[in-house]
Amino acid sequence: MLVERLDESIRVRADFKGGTIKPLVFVRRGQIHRITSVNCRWMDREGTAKIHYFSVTSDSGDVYQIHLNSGDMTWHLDQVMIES
Amino acid sequence: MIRVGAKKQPNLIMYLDIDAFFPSVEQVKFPHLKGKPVVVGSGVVASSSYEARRYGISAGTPISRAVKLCPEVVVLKGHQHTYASFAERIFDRCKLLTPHVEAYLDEIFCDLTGTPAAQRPTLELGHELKQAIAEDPGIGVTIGFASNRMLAKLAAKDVKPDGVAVVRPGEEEAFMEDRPIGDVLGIGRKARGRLEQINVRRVRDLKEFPLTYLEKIFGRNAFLIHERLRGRDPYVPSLTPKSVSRETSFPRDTIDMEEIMVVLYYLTERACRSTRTLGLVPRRVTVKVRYGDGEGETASGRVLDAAVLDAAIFGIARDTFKRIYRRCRLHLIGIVLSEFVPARDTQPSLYPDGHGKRLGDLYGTLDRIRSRFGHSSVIAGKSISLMRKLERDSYGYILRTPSLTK
Repeated sequence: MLVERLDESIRVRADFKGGTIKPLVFVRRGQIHRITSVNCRWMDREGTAKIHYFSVTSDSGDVYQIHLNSGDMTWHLDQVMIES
Repeated sequence: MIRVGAKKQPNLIMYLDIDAFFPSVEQVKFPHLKGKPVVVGSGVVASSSYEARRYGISAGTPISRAVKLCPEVVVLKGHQHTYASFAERIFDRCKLLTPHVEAYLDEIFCDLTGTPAAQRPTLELGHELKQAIAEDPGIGVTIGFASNRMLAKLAAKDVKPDGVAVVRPGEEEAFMEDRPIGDVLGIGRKARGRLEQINVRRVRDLKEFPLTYLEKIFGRNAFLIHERLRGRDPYVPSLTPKSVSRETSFPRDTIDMEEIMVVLYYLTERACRSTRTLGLVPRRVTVKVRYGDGEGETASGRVLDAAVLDAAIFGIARDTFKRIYRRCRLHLIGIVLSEFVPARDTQPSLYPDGHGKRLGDLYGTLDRIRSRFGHSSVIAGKSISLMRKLERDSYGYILRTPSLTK
C-alpha cells in the first residue's frame, strides 16, 4: 500500500446538481482518468473559501484524493493510494 | 401549555462514540484499507483500527513497535482537519435530535430529555441513527442510552464496536452492581489501587462503605462517588472548558534551546488564540515536558494580566520551563492554560500604560485575520524558523503529534 502525496493542478469534468458536486473524469498530465466511484466527500475551509474534498476511485483501480477550491474554482490532486 | 399533574419525563442521555475514528475515516477515504490493520500517527500511534488492535497495537504504542507487532500494518500520518470535518457531519446529525449536544473529538453526549426523539423506542432510535451515520459519512459508531452521562457511556462501552445499548429507568443500580470499581467516573488508578489492596474490586463491595469512609478516600468528591456507585450522576458539566492545551513531540529529541523556545512560542500562540476566541482569561499556565528517556515533569505559573497576550503568557511559560528543564534531550513539550475567568470579569490595570491596550488590539486584529484566512496567514517572527522544519497548511504548522484541547 503506497500513499503518494502530490500537489498538482488537474482538469476535472463534474456534475453540479442539486447542491452536490460529483466529479466524473479528471485529466492529469494529459492522461484521462474516469472516476468509477466517489468513496467519500468532506469539506474544509481555507480562509473564506470552501474546499470540497473527494476520495475517488479511477478506472485503473487507484484511489485519489482531489479537491475543488470554491474560491478560485480550481481542482487539485492531493494524493494517490496505490495498492502494491 | 402546562398540563397539571403531567408526569415529569425521565432524563435521557445519548452517548455516541465513533469507533476507531481516525483509521475508520482513512478506510472510508481509501476503500483498499477496509479490513486491514491501519494506524494513524507519527512517532506514536494516535489511533488504531480494530484489525490492528488484534495485534496488540493501541493508542500510545510507538510506530516502530507497531510495525514489529504487525509487519503488514498500514501507517498513515492522518490529517486532523479531515477528521474534524467528518466528526462535524456526525454532530450535525445529532443536532437534528436535540440542541443540547456536547461534542468532543470522537464522542458526543446528547441530552434528549423532553425532545420528540425521547418519545420513540430508544433502541430503534439508536439503530436508525447508527444506520444513517454508516451511510453518510460511512463510519461505524457505538451508541449508549441511559438516564445520565456515566451510564450512557458505560452502556456503550459494553457493546463496542458498532452496537447500541440502553440502560432503562429503574435498572441503573443493578447495572452498576457487578462492574469493576474502575468503571465509576472519578475513581482513578490511584484510588483503585488503594481499594484493591483491601480487596474492594467491584461496585457492590464499595457500596457497603458509609459516606464518611468514602470521604477519607475521595475527599470532596465522596458524595459524587457515593451516588455514582448507585447509578446516579448528579454532575452537571460546566460550559466553560477546564483547560486549553497544545502540545507536540519534536521530530527528533532535542537539546537545542532555540528550537524548544520557538516551538513553545508557537504552541503558546495557538493556545492563546483559542482562549481569546472563547472570551476567557487564564489564571494559570502549566508547562509539560517529556524527555527522551520517558521521564516527564510539569510546573505552572500564575497569570496576573487581565488580557491574554501571547508575549506575556509566553514569558510565564518560558520561565516555568527554565525552572524544570534538566538539560537533556527533550521529546515533547506542551502548554496548558487553565483556571479561566470570563474576560469581561477581569479587573483592568489601575494605571493603564496604553501599551497593553495596543497589544490587545493587535492580537484581536491578528485573530480576525487568522480566523478568516487561516493561522498561517500571519506568522510571528519568533516562530518563523519553524518554516524550514515543519510542513504548513492554512491551519498552521503541521505538528508531529498535535494534542487537542480538552
